[in-house]
Amino acid sequence: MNTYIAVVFPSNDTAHQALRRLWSLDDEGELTVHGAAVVRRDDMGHIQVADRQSELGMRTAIGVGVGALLGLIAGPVGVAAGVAGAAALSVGAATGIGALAGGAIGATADAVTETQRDNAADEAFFTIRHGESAVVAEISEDRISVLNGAMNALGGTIYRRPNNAATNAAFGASYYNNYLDLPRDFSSSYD
Amino acid sequence: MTKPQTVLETARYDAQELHKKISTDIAKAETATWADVKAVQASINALGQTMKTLAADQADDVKAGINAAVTKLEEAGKLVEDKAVAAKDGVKHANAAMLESAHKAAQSLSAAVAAARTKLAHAIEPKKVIE
Repeated sequence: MNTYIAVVFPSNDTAHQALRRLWSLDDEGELTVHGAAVVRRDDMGHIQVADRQSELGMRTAIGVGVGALLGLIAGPVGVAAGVAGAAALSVGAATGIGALAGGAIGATADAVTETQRDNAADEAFFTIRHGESAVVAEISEDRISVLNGAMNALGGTIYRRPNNAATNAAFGASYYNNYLDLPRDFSSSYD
Repeated sequence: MTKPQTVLETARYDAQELHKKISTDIAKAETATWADVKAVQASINALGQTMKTLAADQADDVKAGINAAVTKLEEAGKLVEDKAVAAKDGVKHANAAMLESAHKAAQSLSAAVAAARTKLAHAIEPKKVIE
């Protein structure tokens, strides 16, 4: 089953550790990673994608489907809707990302408690609070227990969305445009 | 990382490495030359040939993705220097086309790898015993 995942961690270092673990699971044939990246929400609430060189860095660090999503989250890759999304994301203690309502991705909810966070996640792809980081990826998995076991061991909170027509329509018309695979870049630079 | 185990995984790895190489060339856009483009085109054409062979054994949906990627690879592999445009612009255009083709190659091969792994997982999963 082809799935979008986001795994949220309280620390940036753990998120990068999780990214490496994700790729090692691919190497072992336990699941297949089509593309992955780490995003971080800083203490000011801004979302950043780990890459070295803005647009090019994003292209080389991320996968196919998650590319448009990350572009919309982080904004500076030239996706018009992403600018508004990035602005909205800088507000609140937690943010839902990837809302499926309204055909656009952006902030849908700010939550403080875990309950509120879960509610927000029902409506959005995932939620990420100030200071947290997340691995965002497009994968194929035959057993969800593999990813669950690996990410839970690192303390991650896993969110899943099926890669289907409804999800991709919600991700927008630019879903496949301009975002390219190079999944083995483990760079942790946010410069 | 560990070494790729199958022909499909090897091809996917090659496509990903090719994408990385082209990305590097684009990053040095100011100094990239047609010699760099031609060097990558050789790899692109080789990958295209490998993928043509691999496509034959795939399910229809996976095969369609691979064939579309092969078409892109072939187009990018045939690009030649246009003396009418500035060399820098020509190189930039060629790199963009090659990057897109490598992307599609990696994407389609990734789908093929996933399909093969799913098939294997189903083949080795424990069967229910009917009494």
